[in-house]
Amino acid sequence: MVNTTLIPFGPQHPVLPEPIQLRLVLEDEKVVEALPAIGYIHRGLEKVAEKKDFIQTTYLAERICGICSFIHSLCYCQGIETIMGIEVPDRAKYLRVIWSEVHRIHSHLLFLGLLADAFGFENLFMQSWRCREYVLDIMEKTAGARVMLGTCQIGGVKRDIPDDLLKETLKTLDLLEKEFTEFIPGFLNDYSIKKRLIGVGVVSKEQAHVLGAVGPVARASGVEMDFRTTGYAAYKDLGFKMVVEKTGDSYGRMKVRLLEMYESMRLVREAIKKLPAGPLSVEVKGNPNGEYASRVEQPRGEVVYFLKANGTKNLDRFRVRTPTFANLAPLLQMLPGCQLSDVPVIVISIDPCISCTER
Amino acid sequence: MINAEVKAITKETLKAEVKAKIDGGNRFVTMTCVDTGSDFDIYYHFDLNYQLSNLQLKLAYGEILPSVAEITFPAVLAENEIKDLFGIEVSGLPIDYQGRFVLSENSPKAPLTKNCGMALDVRVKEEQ
Amino acid sequence: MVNLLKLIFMNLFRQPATRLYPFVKREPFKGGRFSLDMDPALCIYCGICQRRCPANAIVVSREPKSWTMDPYKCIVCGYCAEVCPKKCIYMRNTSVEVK
Repeated sequence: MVNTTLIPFGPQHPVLPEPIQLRLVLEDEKVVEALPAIGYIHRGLEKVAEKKDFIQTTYLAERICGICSFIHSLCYCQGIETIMGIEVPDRAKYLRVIWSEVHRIHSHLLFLGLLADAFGFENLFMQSWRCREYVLDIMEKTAGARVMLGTCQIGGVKRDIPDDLLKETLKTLDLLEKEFTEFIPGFLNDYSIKKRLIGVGVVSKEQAHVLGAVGPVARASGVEMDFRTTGYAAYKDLGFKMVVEKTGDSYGRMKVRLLEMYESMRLVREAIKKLPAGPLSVEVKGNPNGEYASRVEQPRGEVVYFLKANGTKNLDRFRVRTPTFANLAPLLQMLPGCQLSDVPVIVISIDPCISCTER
Repeated sequence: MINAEVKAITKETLKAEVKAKIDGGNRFVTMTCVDTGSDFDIYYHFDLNYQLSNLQLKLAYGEILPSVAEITFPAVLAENEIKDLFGIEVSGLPIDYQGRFVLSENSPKAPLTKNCGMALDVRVKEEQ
Repeated sequence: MVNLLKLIFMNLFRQPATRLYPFVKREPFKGGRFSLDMDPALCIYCGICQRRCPANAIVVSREPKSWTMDPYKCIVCGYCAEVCPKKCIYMRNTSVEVK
């Protein structure tokens, strides 16, 4: 005789950084079905973009998300530059890569802290976010603000990083690597973490492809997909290697993001070594006309910006599809079959950024 | 579209074309709807080996869009969003949120169309 | 487990990782963007900053010469400081206390 209950998980839950509701159908502590309900922070940004001109929309695109903000503005600027046929100078491309990868490190450290908090390991939560403060200090010194950098503009970048700040960045990365040796092995080898993450929320490789998973969720299941291999900005000169795992469970998703942090640090060091001299931006004249879908790799996956311009200074259509929107379908596949106490861990392991999902 | 091919299809050939794309190994990326002033342009984006390919469907105002969610499951979220934001009727959805996926009760109706409705305030309604 | 034991042991002898704000404050970094300020002597009231602001926070009028900014609407993006022809708007690297 099984008891069937319907439990609403969210929108307010201590483990969620942003509101999302999952309606879970339970049979005696085991989840049988899950249905998502979003719409709690819909701001209508796609409509606002029709009223602002295309240069002001750069600032709007930056503020869609509070964690992956620079990469949103990078995708938008690359889209408009392709429509207008503008070629960005080399120094600007390298600076954009440096800021993107530093952004990726901060986002993955945030994820590691939230994941540790999801199963109650407050010590690792505190250590991850303490190291994240070093990264945010780099961003404040070089760009002016902690998360909303505001340095990407159509035609290049706005600010330069002088040599002394580059040296400080390298010193901070060395300090970060030293601090990582203290607690990152704890994430990988601790007995209680392994017990809670291995085998929880499994998605196989075929399911990940059919359900449209992107980013670390797909790479942890064995699907080799990373947009940085196409070589936008300066990635083709820097030699980028993908991190892929084959297990498909939450432990694999955590390991992919952890190893990606080391890859990002290597990319920043390479980019600083090879930084060429030159102008920072190119002047922009006229209005865009045409349509294009630009895609970039965010910390959570692949983001698609569909931009349609008609020759006036307002854009006709500004459509954003963020990676968490695409990862909601694999989430509905991971949940049935698990226990109720595993639901917070699974929801955090796809790294949800709900303000991106709903714009 | 720059650097991507666009193929124009009709409502009758929609399901066969989408099935051909999925069977060819493409991954469903997303759907986009544009209000051109005279009709709706619905794009279906697919990806294979980092190359984007698109299907474009023209829908007149008031027509019903058939759903492709039985062929590819991730389309169900994108179609619900288009139903909310543009007011297009979609037939055959396996999960139907009936206009409450992203919008709430007092939101304007079909906000992304060119002539959208006004938002209702519950207090204003009670006064009258 | 051994790594964390070592970390816990070292934490007994290290200083705390937090600062005792507001008694100990950090020096603000140069080039920060935290609030907006302008120099009224250089302004020519052309209105370019009002047209470019993404948040519609600046109101400029020519006839009775006035320049107002709503600090609650400002998103500190810095666009007005870039396009000002006389460079009279500048970004401060601290935020101002509202009395």
